[in-house]
Amino acid sequence: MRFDSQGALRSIAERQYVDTLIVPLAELAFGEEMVRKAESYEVIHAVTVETERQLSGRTMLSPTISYVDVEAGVKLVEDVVSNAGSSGFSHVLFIASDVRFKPYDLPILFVPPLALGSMSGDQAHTLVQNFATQVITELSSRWMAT
Amino acid sequence: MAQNGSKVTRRQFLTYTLTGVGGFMAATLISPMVNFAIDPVLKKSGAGDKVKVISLDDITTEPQRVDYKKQTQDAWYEFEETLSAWVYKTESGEIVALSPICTHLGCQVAYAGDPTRPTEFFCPCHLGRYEKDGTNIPGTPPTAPLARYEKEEKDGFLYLGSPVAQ
Repeated sequence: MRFDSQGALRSIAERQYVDTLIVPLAELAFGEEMVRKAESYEVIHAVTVETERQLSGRTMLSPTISYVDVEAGVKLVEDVVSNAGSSGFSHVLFIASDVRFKPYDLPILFVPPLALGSMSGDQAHTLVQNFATQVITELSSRWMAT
Repeated sequence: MAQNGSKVTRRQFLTYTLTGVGGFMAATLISPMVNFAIDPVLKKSGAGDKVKVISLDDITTEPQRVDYKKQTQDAWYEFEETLSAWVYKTESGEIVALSPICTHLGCQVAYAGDPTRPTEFFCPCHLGRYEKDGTNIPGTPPTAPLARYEKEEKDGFLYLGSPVAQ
């Protein structure tokens, strides 16, 4: 479900079934970098929306968390994980394309920062489907493990 | 006062003219408001429209997932919605188009999604299962069969409409 009033009500009512939070994690930049960051965000957004569409009965799609500084981003991620965890979201998965998070031990799945805008509609669709399938596989294996 | 040959007095003429003009002006003001107030009723509903999804030649007895886009209208807001359907042909040649939305909580099911049960639909969220024809398997979370799309075969293509609960 989505992070809107209806989704929130349903997620509280069905908390035993809705135990997974998907969080888009995107870098915000304003200079020359802006275009590339926006491209990464497009991929992250498309993949998270598609994942939620396919798994809407067990997952909630969080609003995007954005950061301008990686250190602060790490802090945000840790806060979300601990808060969500204590409220019954036993699985929290972030989707990001910033490899600077790799050294930290965080539940992040990385998608490559490709320029969807320069592809044909079909290509972009296939690509997003493939990444969403990876996320779904990752989540399924986590669900199976518990 | 009335001139010869005329049955309309000056006063009557002015009354008629002013009423007419006034009425016209009032109508100009009011009709857009009425139009605005009942606009959602006047708008054409997209619900009945069917969308071309796949060539009939590409449909096999093995269910396959087709993704397609449909213009959807939610009150004033129009957007493109991505939809999926599982399409296959039965032994007798009838085409079946199942909605992938699990009737439990709305995840998307996949045919052979559980490799150990290759002829069932499987919901990864809470392990719901359905037969190939969409019937829910008792003992798993779903309580109703998968919905079937309204369908139409035209010019060698399959067109799908809205899903209908079974």
